[in-house]
Amino acid sequence: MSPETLAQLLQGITNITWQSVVMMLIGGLLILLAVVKEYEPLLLLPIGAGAILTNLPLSPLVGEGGMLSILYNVGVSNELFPLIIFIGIGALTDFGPLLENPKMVLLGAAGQFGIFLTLILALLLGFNRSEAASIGIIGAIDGPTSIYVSGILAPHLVGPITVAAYSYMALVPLIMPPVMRLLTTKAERSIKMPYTQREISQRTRILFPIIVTVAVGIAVPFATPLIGMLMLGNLMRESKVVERLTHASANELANVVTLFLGLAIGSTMKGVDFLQLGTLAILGLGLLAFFLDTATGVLFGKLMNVFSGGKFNPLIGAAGISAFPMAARVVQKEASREDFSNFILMHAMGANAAGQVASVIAGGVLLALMGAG
Amino acid sequence: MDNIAFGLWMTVMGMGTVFLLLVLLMLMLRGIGWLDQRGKRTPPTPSHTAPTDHAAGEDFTEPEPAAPGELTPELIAAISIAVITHARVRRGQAAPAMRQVQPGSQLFASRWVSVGRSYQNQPWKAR
Repeated sequence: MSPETLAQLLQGITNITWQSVVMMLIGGLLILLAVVKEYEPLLLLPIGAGAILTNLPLSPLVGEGGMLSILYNVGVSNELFPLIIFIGIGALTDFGPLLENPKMVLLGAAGQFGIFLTLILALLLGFNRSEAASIGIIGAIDGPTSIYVSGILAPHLVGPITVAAYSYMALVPLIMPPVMRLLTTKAERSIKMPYTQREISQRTRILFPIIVTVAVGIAVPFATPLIGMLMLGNLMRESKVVERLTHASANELANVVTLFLGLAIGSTMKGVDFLQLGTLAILGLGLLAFFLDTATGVLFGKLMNVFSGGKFNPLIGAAGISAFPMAARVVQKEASREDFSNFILMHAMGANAAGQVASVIAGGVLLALMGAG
Repeated sequence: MDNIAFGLWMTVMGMGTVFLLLVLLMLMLRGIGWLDQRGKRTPPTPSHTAPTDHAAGEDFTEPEPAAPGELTPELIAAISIAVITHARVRRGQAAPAMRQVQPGSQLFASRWVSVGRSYQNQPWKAR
């Protein structure tokens, strides 16, 4: 056997680098988290698989004509996949609790402070303005918005930003409670808020997505793709005349695109590009963004508590983020921890639905301020 | 220094815009809710008397007209009897298979949620 033939046979082994080994281990860790801990398995499993497939030596799946590269070009580089996922999210989201109590919208705004505070920290760490804005958007706690905004502002950071956004979103039940306990007293956490369900007519439910789309689209044109797709899904759901489309958007379409998106994001985790100090900084800043969002939400909740004469439970402020409905569940769990008979879930759901809308608006505002086009 | 100034400007402008837009959204939602409630309060136009098939001379008292959107006492009584009868029939067929959800399942847990919600919504009850 000639040395050339031997080299060809062993090229897989000879092309292994320490970076690719580390990335395959990281991919394995993501799969482990998805399978064993069930942390966002729908995304972490394909992302982990994509990372392993990409970092296998001489992987034909990446590069010109490679399947993963094609998926990336088809759906991530042009922001198509996140927008399609938004249709599914809209079709799955019930904005009823928000329509019943419109003042909860303000809590959704408070939950976006983390975006801008993280942006400042990223600037201080030496990232340029576009990169800092992309890192800040992790604070929207909204995967598709993070991918959409970072895909426009800093495409080379889509991988680490997406991994940070989805990993920490899965860790919301662990990240939020310590901050909530630190910033509230036992008495505040025990405040009971009576809930009176108000019937929302179908006319209102149908008008809501249309009005929000038109109003936000006029005020912040950059947010039109995000809010438009979110509200399209919701309009289909509430109209009740396109059950098949609603079902397909919320299930088949969203599932297929989630798989493609996960694989495409995984393909961006090439060892040489991913294993840098900057990636670690992004992961750290992402975690900080989650803490800041929770803290500012709770502090705004405390402000509402003061204005309401002590009748508002500040924990609800922490639900004003986009992790729907996980954040609301965590808030309810914390309230129940203090007083088993305290039931604030529906109020928290209202704030959480507001966070969904607010994160999309914040993403659009960020793009507008950065002058992206 | 420039970067910090830029970051602060982004924070003020960004959060200001987000808050402004969401306050507008809140006002719009309140407006829609108000119009919705107003539409519901509008009294319906008087309907024509429905024809009855009671035999002439039968002892029959005309049911009291219900307020708009409410059920008549007769209808409530009929529904109650139907529900009781249905429950009795189902009880008669009682078998382990009648249990719709297994204790401990997510659906079963939702009953606990219902209890909690109704408990919370009765502030007049002594705790």
